[in-house]
Amino acid sequence: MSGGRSAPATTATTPQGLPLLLDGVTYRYGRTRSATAPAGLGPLSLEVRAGEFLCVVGPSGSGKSTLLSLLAGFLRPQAGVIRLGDTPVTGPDPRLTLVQQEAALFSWRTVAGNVSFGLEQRRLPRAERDGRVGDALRLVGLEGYGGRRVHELSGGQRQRVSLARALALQPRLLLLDEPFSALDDRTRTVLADELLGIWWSRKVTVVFVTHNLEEALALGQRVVALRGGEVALDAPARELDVARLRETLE
Amino acid sequence: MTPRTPAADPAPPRTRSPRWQVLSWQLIGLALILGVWWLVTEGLGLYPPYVFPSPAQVWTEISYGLWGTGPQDGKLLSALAGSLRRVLTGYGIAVVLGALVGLLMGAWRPLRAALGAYLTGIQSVPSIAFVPFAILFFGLNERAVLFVVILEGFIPVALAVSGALLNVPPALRIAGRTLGARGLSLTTGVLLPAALPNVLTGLRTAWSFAWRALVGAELLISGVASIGEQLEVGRATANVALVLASIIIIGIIGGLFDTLLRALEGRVRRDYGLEVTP
Ligand SMILES: Nc1ncnc2c1ncn2[C@@H]1O[C@H](COP(=O)(O)OP(=O)(O)OP(=O)(O)O)[C@@H](O)[C@H]1O
Ligand SMILES: [Mg+2]
Repeated sequence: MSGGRSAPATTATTPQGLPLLLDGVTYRYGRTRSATAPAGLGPLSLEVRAGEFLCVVGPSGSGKSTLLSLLAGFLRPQAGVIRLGDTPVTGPDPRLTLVQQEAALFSWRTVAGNVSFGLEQRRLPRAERDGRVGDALRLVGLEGYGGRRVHELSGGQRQRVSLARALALQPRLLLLDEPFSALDDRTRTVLADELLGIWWSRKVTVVFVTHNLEEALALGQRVVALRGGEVALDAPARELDVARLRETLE
Repeated sequence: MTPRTPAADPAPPRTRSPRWQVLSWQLIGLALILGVWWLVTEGLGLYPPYVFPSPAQVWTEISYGLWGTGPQDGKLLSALAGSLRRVLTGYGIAVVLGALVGLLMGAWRPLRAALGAYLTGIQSVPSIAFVPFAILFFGLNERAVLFVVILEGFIPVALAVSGALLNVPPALRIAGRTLGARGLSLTTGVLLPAALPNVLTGLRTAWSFAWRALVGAELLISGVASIGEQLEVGRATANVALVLASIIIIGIIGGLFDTLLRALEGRVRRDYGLEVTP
């Protein structure tokens, strides 16, 4: 990319989503396999199409965060493989970005500084960084907030920065771990709408973890329900309703 | 984003008193202390001047010692210059050394496990206890003083840096890694900046340790022009005014540096949003 300051974040220049494949992925916490089944995940097989919006639901402790840590390369599966596009994920991977539950922003940097952090790691030239930071902030509705200190933001705005920070890297797989759970319903709905808009325009593959069933049904094209580290249900969102999901998870 | 009407603005919080108010209370405190001191010495004459001199007599000692022009004057000034040079050298070396050791201990847990307890142990030994060893090892000279200052200064820095690094919230570490930082860039880009406020607290502790250690060592290691030596000279010549003058100067210098470091720390903490700004 020649990447000028004015380069818009169009789908033409943005790399599109990659398909994700999990085959027999297993992860257990703890050193040895004790008598009681240790906590963890799998074996789990799953296929996510390129550009799909997948929601993962499940009760607390069902392995949702473990799944995302595996996908993000922070944990290595003890068995099975995870493939993103044509190559396996074996560690933190530049093709994907994780957005955490709490917006873990860098308080020593400004809003713009937070968004440009990942771009600096990639040693992008200044002009392109500035352009991408501007685009990402515009995308999450924080135009003009670049110079602010992080602690001058509201919770919802922080979460937007966290999202912008991930989007600026133009990931081809976006992983979100209950990104809106700390927010009130209203802000949550607004941000969810924005996320859908971004997903739509960027054609990025999304794995969105939430324990909010309504949210999962509203956002996802497809919903996977985890229970005890295994897939209890995997269906298109339009074929599901909250009652059915709740029943499965009980 | 939202339009603000001036009338709707909340009143500024009143929890913090303005700076001049604090200052005026401090001045009142100073006046009180000087008043009591004057009362028990000159006022009521409870003690003879050669046992407990009055504020005026100590002030005379300070002014001749610092900016007097007679042949016997100006000794406090050269002593102070020597001490400052020594403590700044020692403190500088201690900070660099402590930062290095702290970085290593923070990066590699076994090292912290192996050393941490002993460093804390050494720290609990009063610095003056190391002076005899320093004298025997280095001789009665400046290096012996520097040794004690560096030893006392570097430990709080090392402990603060390693502790602060290990206490960086995992979420920040994960954020850094998912954004592409790793190894050295993770340390310099995320871990160290996140640790900075706690490191600064350590630097302040290290300063006070180093300054105390310096005075203690100088007191015993004669022959180097120093503020500690002035204390010893005052004792040997039964010049109580000189002793008190030295103590006051030691207190003022220590406090000034502490204030300076505290200001820096406060500034960083406000930038990080760790403190409520008035
Ligand atoms: N670091 C760890 N060490 C040991 N066990 C762990 C660890 N992290 C998670 N677990 C266990 O693994 C299981 C799955 O945890 P995970 O965090 O993936 O759940 P979750 O679905 O994200 O739950 P929540 O909705 O509460 O965030 C739980 O039983 C948990 O206790
Ligand atoms: Mg979780």
